[in-house]
Amino acid sequence: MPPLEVQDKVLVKEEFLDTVHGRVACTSCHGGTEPAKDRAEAHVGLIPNPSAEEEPFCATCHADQVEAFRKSLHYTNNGIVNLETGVLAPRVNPEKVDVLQVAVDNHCASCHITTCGDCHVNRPEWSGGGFLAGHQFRKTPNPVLNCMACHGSRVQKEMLGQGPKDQFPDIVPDVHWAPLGMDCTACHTGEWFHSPSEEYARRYDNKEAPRCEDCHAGAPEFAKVTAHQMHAMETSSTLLQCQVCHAQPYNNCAGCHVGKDDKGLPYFKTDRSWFDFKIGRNPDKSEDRPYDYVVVRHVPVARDTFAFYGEDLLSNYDAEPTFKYATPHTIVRVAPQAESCGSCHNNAELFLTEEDVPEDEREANREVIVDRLPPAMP
Amino acid sequence: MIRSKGGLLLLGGLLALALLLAGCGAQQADEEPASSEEGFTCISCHTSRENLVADLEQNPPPKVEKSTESEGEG
Repeated sequence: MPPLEVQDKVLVKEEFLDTVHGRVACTSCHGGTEPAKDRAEAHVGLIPNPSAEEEPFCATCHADQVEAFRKSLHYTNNGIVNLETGVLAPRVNPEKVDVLQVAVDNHCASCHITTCGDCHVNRPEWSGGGFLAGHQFRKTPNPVLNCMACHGSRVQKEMLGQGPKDQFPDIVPDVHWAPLGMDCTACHTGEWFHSPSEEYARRYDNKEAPRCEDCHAGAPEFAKVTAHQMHAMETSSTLLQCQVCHAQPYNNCAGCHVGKDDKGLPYFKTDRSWFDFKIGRNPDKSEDRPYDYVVVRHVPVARDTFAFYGEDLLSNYDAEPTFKYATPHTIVRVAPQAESCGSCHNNAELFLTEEDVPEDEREANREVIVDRLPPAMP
Repeated sequence: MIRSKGGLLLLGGLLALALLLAGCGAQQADEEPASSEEGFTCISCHTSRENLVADLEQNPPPKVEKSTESEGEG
């Protein structure tokens, strides 16, 4: 992401003053004092980030959007920080929830989007902030400056085809990004962002989330493809998640450990991250995701991720797989594993087998590990 | 010449309406004092890169401290 000089972070473009928001007096949103005799007086009562307020000024005109946004996972961060319902919940030691909550709040809660401005006016505060375009309001967030400012390690690298070329020389950007030129909001629409019907515990609980089928399943040629007949229709005997055939390798992380440095500042260290492609059994089969096989991604959490805060905080570590259902943004029309039936069937390289899983994680991944490969095809 | 109190009130009302219709933007663009004699306004400083640079040299913003020990991808 291109860096911003500190003065450019707060430099208002003249063009802004001609916009709808620019016609509102600065002090209406930002407080402060004007005219003022000097800088200090001007900044008395200043509200640097008005949309972070409990009752944001944005709601004066955009009440529905503000109310809906505050139910969204971007705002609640439930998936990460809620130890009763979020991704860590099954692993938590029920007797040490309070200690773990402190650790999670210190290390995992800083990156969520809490304000309208973080998408529509400035770069997310988490990534250093600064205006997107001289304080002009942007209806559509910038995919790189907004979305990827937070979703960098996985979505950005995957979407832009930034996987390791030495290991995967043929890796290309997600076809939706290039050459099709679609940005994040083409699928993750503004309407969707601002209309969650309820608060969700985790992202895959959201039944309104974008699905490949929204655009692709209705096409007449879809049902003519043999692979779709075999693996992607109600009549198919073995159902595959779309990404099983259409994704390229994607990013994985492992061994995240957190702590505090000499100054008491929180830090994290991940042991490694790597691009790979693995098909596993679907650990979260549901009416919405009835697939037998899905692509799985190793998540960063380790048995002792929070050891800095105490022993055995994740005493139920094995209650949840470490290779989890994934929806990587590395889509191509025909990925190498889908060039023919034989490219995939009986190809042990593609499947998550016991040997791919570290010994102390095998129990956690029992329901994901593929113990019998699909039979060889001619 | 206005001879009655009512006429004065009417004129005052019309002037207030004219100001209202001119809008906040116009007020900001045309009437905001830009010098220290009249008092600083938000846009007199925040639309000028030079002013901001000079100001930030005088009043460097507090540094947001982040640990340098973080490693790897989050």
